[in-house]
Parts: sequence; structure tokens; C-alpha cells
Amino acid sequence: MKTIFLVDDSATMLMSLSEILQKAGFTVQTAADGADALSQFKAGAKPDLVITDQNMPGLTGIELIRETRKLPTFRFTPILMLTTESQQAKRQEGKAAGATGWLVKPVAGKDLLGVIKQVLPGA
Amino acid sequence: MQISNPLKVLAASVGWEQGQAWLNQQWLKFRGRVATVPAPEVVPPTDCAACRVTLEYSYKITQSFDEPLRLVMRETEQSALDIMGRVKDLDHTASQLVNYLTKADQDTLDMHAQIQNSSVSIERIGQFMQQLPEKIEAERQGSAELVEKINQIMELSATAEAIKDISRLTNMVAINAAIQAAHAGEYGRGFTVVADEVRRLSTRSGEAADQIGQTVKSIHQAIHAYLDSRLQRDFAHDLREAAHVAESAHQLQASHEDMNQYYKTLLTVVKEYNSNMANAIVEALGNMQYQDVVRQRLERVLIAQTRYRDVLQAALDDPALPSSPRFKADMEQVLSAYLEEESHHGDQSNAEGGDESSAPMIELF
Repeated sequence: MKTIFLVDDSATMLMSLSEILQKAGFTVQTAADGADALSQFKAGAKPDLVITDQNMPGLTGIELIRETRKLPTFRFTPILMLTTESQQAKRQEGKAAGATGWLVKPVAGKDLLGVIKQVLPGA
Repeated sequence: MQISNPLKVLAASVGWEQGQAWLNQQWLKFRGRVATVPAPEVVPPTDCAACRVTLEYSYKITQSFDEPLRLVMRETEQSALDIMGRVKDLDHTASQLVNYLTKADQDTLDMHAQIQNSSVSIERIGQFMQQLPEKIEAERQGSAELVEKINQIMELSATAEAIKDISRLTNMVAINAAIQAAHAGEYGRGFTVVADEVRRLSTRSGEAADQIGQTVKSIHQAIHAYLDSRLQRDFAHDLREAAHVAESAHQLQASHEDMNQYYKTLLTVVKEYNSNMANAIVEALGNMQYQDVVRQRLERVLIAQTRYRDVLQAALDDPALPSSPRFKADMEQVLSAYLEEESHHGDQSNAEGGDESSAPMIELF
């Protein structure tokens, strides 16, 4: 069973995405902001996929990706941005930081699961 | 407004009489130019009651929006969480229903296996039914042998008759012997005793033979009666029971097949409904993301309002500011910053529209 790590400061987002992913058979871990996520990664959490928001207090999503990519165990872990931000410049910034893909909120459940299937073969 | 002539005052003070007329002429020319292009009246905001009221109330009104907007964010978030909790419960209930039906489906499979076993039993019953006439015939034959044995017992009755005949003859002989003994007188006295004894024994033998004959007949009749009634009763009962068992087995098999089909249909229908419901639940949960989208939009409005109030506060603190170009520039900056920030965020309602929003909602790098 694959594990997906959700990072978002919105309780609504965490709950709705957790339910969708758990129903699809994934194990879900969560963090309410970038700093919490990063500390969990450093403490040994090793998800198969990370989905993060961009605008969060403290560490932004792009900053989180930048820091996470420095961890050896996360060099090839797919990381998706799920944010209300849609401008091209920000996407390029995310891509440069190491994001695997960019999803603009809100994304339909079946579309999200479709993207996960693409970045997590065999999921 | 009364404007004094400063040049006149200056000329008088210095005693510059010659230039007085010229200076006066220049003043009149200057004043004429001023009069043709009236200068805007510069009135500090503090002197404009209406302006100050506008500034103050713009500040207060936008400030009063803040708390309701935050309340909307909190309440919509709480509502979204509540709805998701209920959806989760609904999903749990639906899952339980499917689990129940899956178990029922398994039970149906088990029942199917039982039906197969029942079919074997029914097959056996059928075979039994087919063999039943032979068995009945065999039993009848067994009964016939029994009757033959009983008939042999009846021969005892004939033997008893023979004994009776012998007894009668013996009696006749004994009587003759007694007569002859009487003729013999004293010499035949002992013989007479023997003849009497023989006759008495003959009578008792006849009675015993008669009794045996009666008893044998009685037994023969009783056994015949018993066998007839048992055969009739048991065979009819066995036939009825066998037919009943066969019919019950067929009904049982039909019921099992009906139940099997019913469960299969029910499970298929409920699984389809459950699948549709699961999809609807996933979409409903996905739609909960709108709460976060709305929250972030309201947060951007709140930030813009705070910046707007900062500019208003500066104008209230500095009465000269509203008349300066900086005030307008500050306002413009607040507006453009808000619009710029807003344009950076996806708008589903305009997804087909402008340049930014036409960017794909999902992009894999």
C-alpha cells in the first residue's frame, strides 16, 4: 500500500484529500505546514508521494520542495503542488525547485487520482 | 477674496517713486492673468468636513468588514468539516452495507455448494425411488416365504388330527380290551386296569391334539392378519414418505436456486449503487476544496483592505496628504497590488478565458 504525504494549512483540504486518497486505498500522512512536513521528513517519514500547498505560514510549498530535495531519500520522490496559484512564473519556479507537477485547486477527485496513477506507477 | 498689492507696498517703503507707476502696471497685468485662469482653491482636508468624514467612514466601514469576513472563513471551514464528517459516516455505512452483501454473496456461494450436495442427495433419493418397487417385491417375496413357513406350521394341525385319530382308535381298542378282559373274569382283572389306563391316556391325547390344532390355527390366522396389515400399512407409508421427501428436495433445490439468484441480483444492484455513491462521495469531497479557494480569496481581500486602511489612516494623520499626488499613488498601488495578486490565482469560472487562466489546471513537468 502506497503512502501519500499531504501538506496544507487548510483543515478542509487535509480532510477532503485524506478521505479521497484513503478511499482509493492509499495510506495518508499529513502536516499542517511546510516546517512540520520538513521536520517529519528529517525524522524518517518516507512517503511514496508528497502533495503540498504553496501558500502556507512559515515555509511555502516551493521552499519546502527546495529543502526536501536536499534530503537524499527524497531525491526521486514525486512531489505535486496543489495550490490556487496558477501563474506561469510560479509554475516555473516550482519546476525549478523540483516539483513533479502543478495542480490548481480545486481539482476533481478522479482527476487527482488520475495524476497520482501517472506519477506513481502501479498505484 | 481680497488681495493686497505687495508691489505697491514695496515701492512705497523704499521711496522708489519713479518705478511706482511701472510696478503698478505690472501688478495689474499679473492680477489680470491670474483672474483669467482661476487657481484651484487648495483647502486642507481638515478644513473639508465632508472629506474627513469620507476618510473616517471609509476606514471604519472597511474595518467593520474584517470580522464578518473572518467569521465567514471560520464558519465555512467548520461547515465543510461537518459535511465531510457526515459524508464520511455515509461512506462508512455504505461500506458496511457492501461488506454485509459481500458476506451474503459468500453465503450464497456456500449455499450453492449445499445445493450441489442436495442434488447428490436428491439423486440418491431418485435412485432409491427407482429401486423401491424391486425392494417392495423382494419384501413381498420375503413375506411369502414367511407365509410358507407358517403354512408348514399349519401341517402341525394335520399331525394333531392324526394324533386324534390314533387316539380314537386307541380308545376303541382299549374299550374292546376292557370287554375282553371282563369276559376273562378274575384272570382279566389286571388287564382291565391296563385297558382303562390306555383309554384314559387316549382321551387325554385326543384332547391335547385337539388343543394343538386349535392353537396352530389361531396362530396361523393371527400371523396372516398381522402380515397383511403390516405390508399394507408399511408399503403405503414408505411410498408416501418417499414421494414427500422427493418433492421436498425438489422444492428445497428450487428455493435455493431462487435465493441464489435473488442475492446475486441484489448484490449486483447494490454494488452498482455503491460504486455510483463512492464516485459521488469522491466528487463531493473534491468540491470541499472550494472552501479553501474561497478562504484564500477572502484573505486576499482582507490584506487589500488592511493596506487600504493604512493609506486612509495616513491621510487622516496628515491632512495635507489627500491633496498630494502621493495619496493617489498609494491608492493606486493598493488597487493594483490586489488585482495583480488576484490574477495569480486560478479562477475556474474563467478557465477558458485570459492568458493566465488558460494555463492548464493540471500540468506534469
